[in-house]
Amino acid sequence: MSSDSFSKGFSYFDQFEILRLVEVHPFGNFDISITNSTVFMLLALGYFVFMFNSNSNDGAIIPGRYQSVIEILYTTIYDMVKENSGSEGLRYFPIMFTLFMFLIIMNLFGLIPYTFTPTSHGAVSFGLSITIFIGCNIIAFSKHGLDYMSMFFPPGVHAGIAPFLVAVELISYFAKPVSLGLRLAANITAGHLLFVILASFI
Amino acid sequence: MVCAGGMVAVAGLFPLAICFFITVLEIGVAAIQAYVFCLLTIIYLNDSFHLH
Repeated sequence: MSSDSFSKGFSYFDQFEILRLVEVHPFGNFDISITNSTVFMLLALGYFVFMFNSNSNDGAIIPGRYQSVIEILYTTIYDMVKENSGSEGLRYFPIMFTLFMFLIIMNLFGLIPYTFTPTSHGAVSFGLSITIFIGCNIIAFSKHGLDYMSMFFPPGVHAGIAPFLVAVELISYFAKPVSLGLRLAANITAGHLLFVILASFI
Repeated sequence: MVCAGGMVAVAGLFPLAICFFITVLEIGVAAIQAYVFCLLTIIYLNDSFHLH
């Protein structure tokens, strides 16, 4: 069974293939085509907007089923932001909640057979993590100025090991966005590959 | 598929059962990875507010 499929050019990586549905090349090689990745991201966005507009507008004191789910998601992310960043971080609660909903909807949509998961691509997850990294740096430098550089040299450390310590801290600082993006893409890709490999044994 | 007296078809039920189990696992992974991404984002954001 599976050997027949392989002879027809089937590959485990077919599900991750990006198909250009509408070709858009405005300036030479600059490619902003509408792909299946775009379509599934827009579907996630549409579902997000639909879910929140159709079910939470009445704001009932005793919530229905959908409103309960929305309230649980909201309080989970609210508590997470508040516990880890205090009241100062609550300014950034809206973007955290949007990010969480965007990722969870895309991840769960991808589990439906014959769909596409945008988060399994490094381009999407690294795009998010590097944007967050740049945003954090902008916030930090606008708040602390060049004092932020003291991040790389913790107080109370002997000056003799400064070159070594600063090098290690720099590496760990720039490894943060890489690990953030890579973890998401690798986990989702691994899960989807596992599905295909197991299904080829049936 | 029908060779070995249908044993291969019966043996195929085993990966099918695993596939169902992995689906449940992957729903958990999908939710946890989204949560972890947000958790680490807010931790990095907190580091940029407070110098240690």
